[in-house]
Amino acid sequence: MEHKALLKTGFVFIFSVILVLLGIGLSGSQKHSDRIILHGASQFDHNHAYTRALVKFEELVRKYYTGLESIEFVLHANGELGVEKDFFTYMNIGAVVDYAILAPSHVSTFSSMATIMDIPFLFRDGEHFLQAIEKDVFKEVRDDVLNRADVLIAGYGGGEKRHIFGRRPVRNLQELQGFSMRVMGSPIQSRMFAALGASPTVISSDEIYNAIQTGVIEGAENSAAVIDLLKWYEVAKDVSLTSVSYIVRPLFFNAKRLRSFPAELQEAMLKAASEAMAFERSIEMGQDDPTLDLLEKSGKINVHPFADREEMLRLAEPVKKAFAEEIGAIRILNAIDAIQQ
Amino acid sequence: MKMILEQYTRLLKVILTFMMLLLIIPVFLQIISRFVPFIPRYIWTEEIARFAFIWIIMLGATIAVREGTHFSVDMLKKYQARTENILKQILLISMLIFAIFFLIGGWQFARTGMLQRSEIAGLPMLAIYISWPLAGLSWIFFLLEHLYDHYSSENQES
Repeated sequence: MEHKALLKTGFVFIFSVILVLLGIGLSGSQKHSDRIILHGASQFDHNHAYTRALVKFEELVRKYYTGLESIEFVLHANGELGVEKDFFTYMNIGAVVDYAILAPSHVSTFSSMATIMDIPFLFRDGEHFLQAIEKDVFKEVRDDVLNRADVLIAGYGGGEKRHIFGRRPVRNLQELQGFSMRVMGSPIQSRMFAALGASPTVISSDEIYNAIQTGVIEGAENSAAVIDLLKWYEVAKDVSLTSVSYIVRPLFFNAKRLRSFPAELQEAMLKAASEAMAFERSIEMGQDDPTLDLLEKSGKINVHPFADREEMLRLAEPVKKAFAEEIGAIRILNAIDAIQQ
Repeated sequence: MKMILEQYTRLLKVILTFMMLLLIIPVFLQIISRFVPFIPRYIWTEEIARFAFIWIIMLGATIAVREGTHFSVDMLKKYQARTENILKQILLISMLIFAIFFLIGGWQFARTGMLQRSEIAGLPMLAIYISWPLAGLSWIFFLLEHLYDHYSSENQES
């Protein structure tokens, strides 16, 4: 009797395994197509700088590539394929997403060196940022990410300034003392703002609004575009022009996929990528201050100048050095610091 | 065989309890640190809570498969014993197929974790991602046990 039950169970198990393997086999065999289809992904809508840069990239590839293959682009905007972290994982596996612009912090689990791009006070001003990109200071990071994650950094966007904003103005270093603020969940963020005298807390970005409203934190730091998009000005009216960082947003490319294309197409893509990202930088930097002005004019925020930025940069110096040392990016930091204006 | 599965479930429950503590204590610490000035604001609490939460979900789902306490919605009316029997069998086999998918897909997913280290604590991400294929494998064991029990009782009745 027992023997019969065992036999039946074994039979059902083998049957199920065969069914699953058959299913996987069938789904894999439908991939072949005579065209090259490229999938871009963005978390934002079609007006956002990242999405516009990806559209520009499509146009430029079409313009520069004169070969025989027919190429088709599919742009998944509005977070259709998930969030930025997912995009990077997909590109690492070599499936679903072929290119996307995303925050370098999502790469940190693969390459800790990549977090150098996220350090506050890395650049003195917008001009410094542009020159650093021009000089290709992040070359080492690009090699590291390619080696570890098999994802290629094909261009650099960004340039928006992140300012401290909150329920009270931060006009000088004194006012920053004890300012309880949300920071991103990366060790350098906490360390940096603690060194400046603020009291940093790690909170997920979707909870910032509630946290400020309920008084868990007094404020946070982010760019004008995000303060506008997520309506944080409703609870935190005071934006202080601290420029704590100039964001760097690389365009990442699925390297497994890229290598499978004819050389001519690869070349066209890399050329298009670097031009599209220059376009992205110009949008971001062009929109940054006007967005802030618009918010101020419509009475949504109060903008305050910050007096001690020089002093703040000086205090940040040793923290940056120690962290860069830790993640093996001291050469990159030195190269950035060496750029004179 | 039954003994081994019994012990395995007990082990899972112990780990589950431990993970629960690992979730509650750091989160509690994190929340009070925001209001009490002398408690340090550790940043690892956020990461460790997330990882413990993932393990709780996977372990909990596994234990629920064995105990048959997963959500189920009765959409069909009660049939005769014979039909009920077949329906139960279809249910178990569907779950088994899903578990095999979960094992294979989870293994592919876990492999992507081999290259990654968590940002704050520096833990290998494999330690978290491995919970997917492990859950799939455990479900397969427990579902086979259910199927075996099902057929044994069927035999006794006939």
